[in-house]
Amino acid sequence: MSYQAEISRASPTAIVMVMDQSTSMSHRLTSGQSKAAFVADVLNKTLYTLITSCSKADGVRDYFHVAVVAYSGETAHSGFHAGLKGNMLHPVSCLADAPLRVETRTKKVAGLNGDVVEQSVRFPIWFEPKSGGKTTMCAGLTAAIEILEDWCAAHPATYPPTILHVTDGHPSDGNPEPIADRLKKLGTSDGSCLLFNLHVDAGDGKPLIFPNDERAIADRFGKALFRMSSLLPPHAVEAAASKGHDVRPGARAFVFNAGIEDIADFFDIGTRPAVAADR
Amino acid sequence: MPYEAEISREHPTCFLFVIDQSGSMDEMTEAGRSKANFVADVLNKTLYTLVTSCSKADGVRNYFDVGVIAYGGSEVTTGFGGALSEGIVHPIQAISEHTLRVEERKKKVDDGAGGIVELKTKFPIWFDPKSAGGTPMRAALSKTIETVADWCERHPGSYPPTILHVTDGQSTDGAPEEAAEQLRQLSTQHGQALLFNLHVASGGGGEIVFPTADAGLQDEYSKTLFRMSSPLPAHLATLAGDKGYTVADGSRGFIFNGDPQCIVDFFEIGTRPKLVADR
Repeated sequence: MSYQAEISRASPTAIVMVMDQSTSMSHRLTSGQSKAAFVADVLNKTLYTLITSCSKADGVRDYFHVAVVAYSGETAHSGFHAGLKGNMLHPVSCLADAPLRVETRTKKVAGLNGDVVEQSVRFPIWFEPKSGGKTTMCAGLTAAIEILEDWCAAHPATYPPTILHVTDGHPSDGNPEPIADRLKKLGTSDGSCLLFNLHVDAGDGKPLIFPNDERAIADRFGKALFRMSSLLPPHAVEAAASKGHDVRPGARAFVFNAGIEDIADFFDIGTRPAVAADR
Repeated sequence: MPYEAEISREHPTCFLFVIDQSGSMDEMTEAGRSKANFVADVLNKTLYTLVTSCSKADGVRNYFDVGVIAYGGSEVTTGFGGALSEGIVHPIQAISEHTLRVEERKKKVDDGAGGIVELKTKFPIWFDPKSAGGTPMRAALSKTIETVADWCERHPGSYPPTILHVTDGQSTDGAPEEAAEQLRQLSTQHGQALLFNLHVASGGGGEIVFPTADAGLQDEYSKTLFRMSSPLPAHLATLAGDKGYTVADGSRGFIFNGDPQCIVDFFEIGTRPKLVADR
């Protein structure tokens, strides 16, 4: 059975976020924010949640090694700031110690009677939104392969790495499907790398959440992203079902035409590889 | 100069919404709702906005007289119900007091810190969607003429009435152009009645917004709707420009194949007469 390995400090897992920063990510969502800004918020919140889930009485335990690859223009590069460069993958305890800055945000919280209360919250930032240039998706996925080849060699028996890829567009540097295939062939003795793809939409199109049939997608490139996506692993099937999604056999780790709610769910579901063990 | 009159309680203006409720309005939009349903939502929201814009410390001031004419099958009726079902046009203050009901709507929004929060909002309903039968557009426009003529006679010193006509189909009771012409001949001292036409899309794109000529329009029917539409007065052209639409001298108040955002904008632009004075 795959995807059963326990995650521990001795046997951590890796999470790589691959982020499209091309020009079109500057388009506005219905909430008024740009796609890039909203996705960056969700990513930062996800990192903070990962750190929190690793925080025990004795400090932050390194159950996860995390990298952010950002691509746009001609290249792909680390999405983390200068203090975290060098390695692409960082243990969560290093992230916990070195956010770029901590902002004070006004957060809307549902109150008792369904009214909304505003709260001031501390919001650590590791990754900043950017949007400019072409959609160098092949470069972004290739960078993920380079990172994970080494990591898998060094961690042959751990829970396999998860890659969350977020894009809104069509690749401008070639066909990403063979590269996605190479990425999905990497892995550990516990299974192949899991590639999740999120297609962000700014319009009113209906989202398709974890579809199991590419014929449901009209867009040629949406079909390609479907094929590039791993089968949804058991823990994600459970997490998706608990959020009320109807997950069919053969469902892929893919969300097409995602609105803000689907974006938040995607990150949440994608970063829950297994319950972190207390060791 | 026409269309410069100040709007006040002594000199209110009039908004008439003429809404197609024929069978084809039950077609689904891309977001999975019927056109009739979506248009009804936008209309109810617009009515609420009109009420809000007239709400002052001393109550709702009668800056606007508002009516809804609904047509479908063999019927042309008021779109209002309950206490508003007599006659067509009612002062905004009466409208504010007589909703059909107030629904509670839920809406998920960005919480400002990378997450989602569910808002509950009160959504007043004055107009319910319907879709059945043919498209008696001529009869609807005759009823509109009767209503507008009567109103203009009683308000010679007011900003002229604005008619927002929403349809997705072809008239089934004869050519509507002559009736539209008659309608636009009606006037106050401050200009002729304004007739704006919105053609609701059945998907597939290719929208044409505020055109100056009928050149890009494919079928005879949309060309007719173009000719039926008033040129946008200067202040509305500016407003449309601010919303990112391309407007030129001679742009008509006409949208062909409008997507949902276009429909919302059409209602918003169409219901903003120049000045609301504080008196």
